[in-house]
Amino acid sequence: MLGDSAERLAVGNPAHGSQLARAMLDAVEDAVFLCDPRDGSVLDANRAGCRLLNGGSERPGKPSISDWSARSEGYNAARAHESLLRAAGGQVERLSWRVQRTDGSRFWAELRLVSAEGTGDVPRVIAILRDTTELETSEERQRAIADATFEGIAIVHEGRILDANEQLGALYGASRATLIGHSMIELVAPESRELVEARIEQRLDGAYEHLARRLDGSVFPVEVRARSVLLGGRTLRITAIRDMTDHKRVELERERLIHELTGRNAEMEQFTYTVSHDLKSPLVTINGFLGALERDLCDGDGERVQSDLNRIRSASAKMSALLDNLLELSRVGRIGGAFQAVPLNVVAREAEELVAGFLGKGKVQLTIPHDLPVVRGDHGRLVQVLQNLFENAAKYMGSQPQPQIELGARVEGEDCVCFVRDNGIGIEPRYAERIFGLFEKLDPRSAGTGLGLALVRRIIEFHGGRIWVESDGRTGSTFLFRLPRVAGATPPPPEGTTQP
Amino acid sequence: MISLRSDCVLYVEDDPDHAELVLRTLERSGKKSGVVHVEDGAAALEYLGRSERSEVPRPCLILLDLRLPKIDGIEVLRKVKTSPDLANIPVVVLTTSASSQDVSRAYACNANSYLVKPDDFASLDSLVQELGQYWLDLNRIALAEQPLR
Repeated sequence: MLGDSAERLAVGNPAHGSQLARAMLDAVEDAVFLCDPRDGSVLDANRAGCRLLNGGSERPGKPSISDWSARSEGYNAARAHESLLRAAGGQVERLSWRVQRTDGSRFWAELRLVSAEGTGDVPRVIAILRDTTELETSEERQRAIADATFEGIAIVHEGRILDANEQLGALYGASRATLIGHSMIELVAPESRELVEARIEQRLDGAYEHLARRLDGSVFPVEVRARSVLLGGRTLRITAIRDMTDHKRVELERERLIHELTGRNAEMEQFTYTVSHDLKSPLVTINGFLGALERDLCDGDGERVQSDLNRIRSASAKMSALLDNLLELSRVGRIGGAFQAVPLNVVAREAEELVAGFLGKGKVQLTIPHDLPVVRGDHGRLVQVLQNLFENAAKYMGSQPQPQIELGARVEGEDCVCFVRDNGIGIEPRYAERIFGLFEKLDPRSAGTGLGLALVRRIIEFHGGRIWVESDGRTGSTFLFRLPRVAGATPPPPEGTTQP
Repeated sequence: MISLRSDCVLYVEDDPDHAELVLRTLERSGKKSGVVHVEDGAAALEYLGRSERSEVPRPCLILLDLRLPKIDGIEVLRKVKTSPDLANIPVVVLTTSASSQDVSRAYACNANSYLVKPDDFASLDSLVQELGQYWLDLNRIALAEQPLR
């Protein structure tokens, strides 16, 4: 222990410092030593220094820097000697030092060496040793925080990564160690480089998005927030990077849903509008002809009375059919069977039975092949689709002497494209979309409510499919629809054959 | 300048019952002879095209339903009102739709009038009578203008 007794080290005599100065020195938490730069020996030490050297009790004979330097890490006797000499020459030396206590425990310290002027002709160096354990702990804490974030964090200097957290490695498909020293711009996809370079150059701090590139070359969207900071005389760019792949996917899904809902809404509005208009139409007819009937009865015009009654009757039947069809339309997607593997030839035969009378009346020949694929869907609804398409085809045969309808299907990847082809009057291409609308009838005098094809479209769309028509407007039309196929399933054999 | 004078009314209506009701009322007031009835928008435009080529009488009034097969009534209206040759023919929309959307769309396309088909006979009757009067007035104006040309 430093003091005023004979135990004090050589230079510690009162001639070089007052009692007060000694007390002040002892009060300092840093260890302070007076060293001989020639051999590194410790000539004097304050209270903290003694504690460090001998655990506070025993005092070493003539300790040197080597005695409290932990030789294992970073210690280099030659380096220590050079520093001491430089300090003795008037230069302030600052270095990190690994220190070993007398009990063998070690800690990191910051060592400052300054020349002790006014201590006589012999050069002396004052060594001030500050325990930086806490600082190191705080750095470790900061690294732990950095590693616990969701974002990848990089500290970049002059375009190279100086330091990074673990997440940055995970983000770019490499270890943290691999990324240190790596060029930052190479982690940006080429199409985003101009944007990123401009932001770095302008030192813009706000968050922005760009495309990043992993070390394997794959590209993914990121959100980046970067700040340029001046640290230790260097401009560093601290960048936090977040993978936006999931976010983008969710965003796309959200947009798709909004689009779908907007579509549904518009469809619903159109539906309400159309329904209110088209349901009112038969009412105008019924009430109008009731008035006409009164007048015709007064006039005694028997022929007109009969015609008025017929019109009233058919308008009321039309209203009833409209309501039935609307109800049917609203049920698609709500009421029906579960989706299952549905052999198209079975569906086609059922539909054929339902329209047999109608086809027979028009002498229409319907061809259904045996080798139709198996699709996934609601059996009953798919029968409705074919029934409506067969009826529709038969209805618009015009003056065709040999009316024919042909059902067919082809496999396209995961889907099956079915068609119902006829040799009737055809549909002008400009009306190809309109015919699937609610209450759309190209011929106002044709039978039906104008809901048949709207119903077909709704059923197909409910199955995740699409329906369209191809026709040159002269030689028949082909209605095509796409449905998901059940791969590998074989259709049941046609009736009359036995199962092997 | 094109003469407005004409005995012809182009009546575009797809519902045969509604057409019958209107035609009967016009017949009662002795105005049916000049009515040309077509059942869809495409037929209406075809007739107007032929009238421009003087193959058929040019209508002095168009009575137009909105929901029509093939080409919609609004489309017919737009074509008429943007055609330099046809724009001065008055177009009266006669429809079952009372929707404000249809009313504003029709007026935005320069319809001269928008009438909702009444669902009772007496109102329909008087409405058609009024239309008949409008038609006569149009002819009178055209006649009065004639000496100026």
